[in-house]
Amino acid sequence: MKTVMLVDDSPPILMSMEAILGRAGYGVIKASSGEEALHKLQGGARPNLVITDLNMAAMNGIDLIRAMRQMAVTRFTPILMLTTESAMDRRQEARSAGATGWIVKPVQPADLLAVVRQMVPGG
Amino acid sequence: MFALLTRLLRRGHAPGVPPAIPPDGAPELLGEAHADEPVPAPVPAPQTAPDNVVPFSPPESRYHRIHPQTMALVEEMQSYAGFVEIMQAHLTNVCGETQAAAEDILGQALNIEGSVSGLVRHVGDTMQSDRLVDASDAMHLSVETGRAMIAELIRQHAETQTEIRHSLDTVRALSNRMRSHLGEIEDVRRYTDLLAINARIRIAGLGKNTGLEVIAEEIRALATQTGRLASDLNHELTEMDLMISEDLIAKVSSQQRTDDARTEDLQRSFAKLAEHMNTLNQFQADLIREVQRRGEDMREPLNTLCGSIQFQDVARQQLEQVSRALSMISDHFVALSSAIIHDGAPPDSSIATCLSSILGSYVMEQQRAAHRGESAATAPKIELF
Repeated sequence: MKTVMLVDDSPPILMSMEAILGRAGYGVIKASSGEEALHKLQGGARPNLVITDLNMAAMNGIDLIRAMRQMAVTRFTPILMLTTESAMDRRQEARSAGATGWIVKPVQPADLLAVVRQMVPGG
Repeated sequence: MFALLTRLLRRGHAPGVPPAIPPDGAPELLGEAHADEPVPAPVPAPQTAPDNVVPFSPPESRYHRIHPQTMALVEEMQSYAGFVEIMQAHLTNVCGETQAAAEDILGQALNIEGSVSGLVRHVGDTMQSDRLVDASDAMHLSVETGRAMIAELIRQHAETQTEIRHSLDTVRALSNRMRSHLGEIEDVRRYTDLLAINARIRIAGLGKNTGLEVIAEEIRALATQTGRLASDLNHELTEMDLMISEDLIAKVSSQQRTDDARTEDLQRSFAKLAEHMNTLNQFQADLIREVQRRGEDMREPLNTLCGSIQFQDVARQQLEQVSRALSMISDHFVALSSAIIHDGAPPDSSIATCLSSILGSYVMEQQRAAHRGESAATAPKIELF
């Protein structure tokens, strides 16, 4: 089963994304902060895709991407930003940090799944 | 901010009510500089002094230099801080309650989906369970066996009927052959009778008491007996023919018609049974398909619900920005009032500058656009790099 790691400090977002991806056949690893995500990755979690929020309390999404790109196991893992932010300069910043794509909340589940399937076929 | 509100409440300020002015005429500041100072004792109400007592002249307030209207403005600014605390508490409540509600709605929806999925699985499993399938197969097999048995019965019955008819035909043929033999016997009888007449004539020519009359008489009696026997036999053959043609064949034909009707009824019943079983199987298959379809139908609305629940996160972030802006204004007012009272330096930036700085802390482009009074630029919602 293909696995997606969700990183967001909003419990409803984690719940809803887990429901959408889970029912589409993907395994889901949840983390409520960038630090928790890194901890899980260091602990052996190997997601096929990471979807992270941008604005989180301590470590924001872009910092998380930078940290993940330093790790050998996640150097080439696709990472999508899922955020309420839509400014082009922030997108560019995320792209430079190593993000694979940018999705603005709220996103239609069908649109999200289309992108996820494109990144990770055969969920 | 919560700590400040707690301090306000502990000191007896009602929310939204400006803090009391200390006896020296200066309002209590809400800033950190005065946060830990002891609360001044209330001033007793002035009483009418006796004539021999020199009235007490309080020392001149250290805030006497502040214009009363400015002081009123300071009071207003400080009361604003309490109001902001209340508004922020409201916003925090809204965020908390909508988040809890969003989680609850989503949780309940997922529970419902789980129940429906369980039901769909149960119905599917039951309908396709080995026991049900075996029973259905057994019924089909019974019906098919029954139909095969009836077909075999019909075949055997037809064979028996054919054999009976064949036997009857054989008996008839025998009867006809016997009739043919009866004709020959009749010829013999007639010849014997003629022989007896001839014998009697010859014997009469020989005279009486020759003893030959007895033989002639015996020959005549033999002819008569042969004729009677032939007649009886003919009569019995006729009766037998009659019985075969009118009775046996009629009975066999009647029985055949009855049997044919019964087997046709039986065949129709089995055909109906097979038809009902096929209908039942069709209903079963339709039921499984329908239950599965309804289960599938739930997926899309639930996905939509999951997507819609994101509104809470969007709204929460916007409310957090409002709360942050309120704090900024409140802090500015506190700093400004402190500067007025203590004759200190005013805040480095104006309130307008402070509010402009909010622009940089927004998390959504639509907030920035709304702040600028512009419509938000249309950027793609999904972009793959």
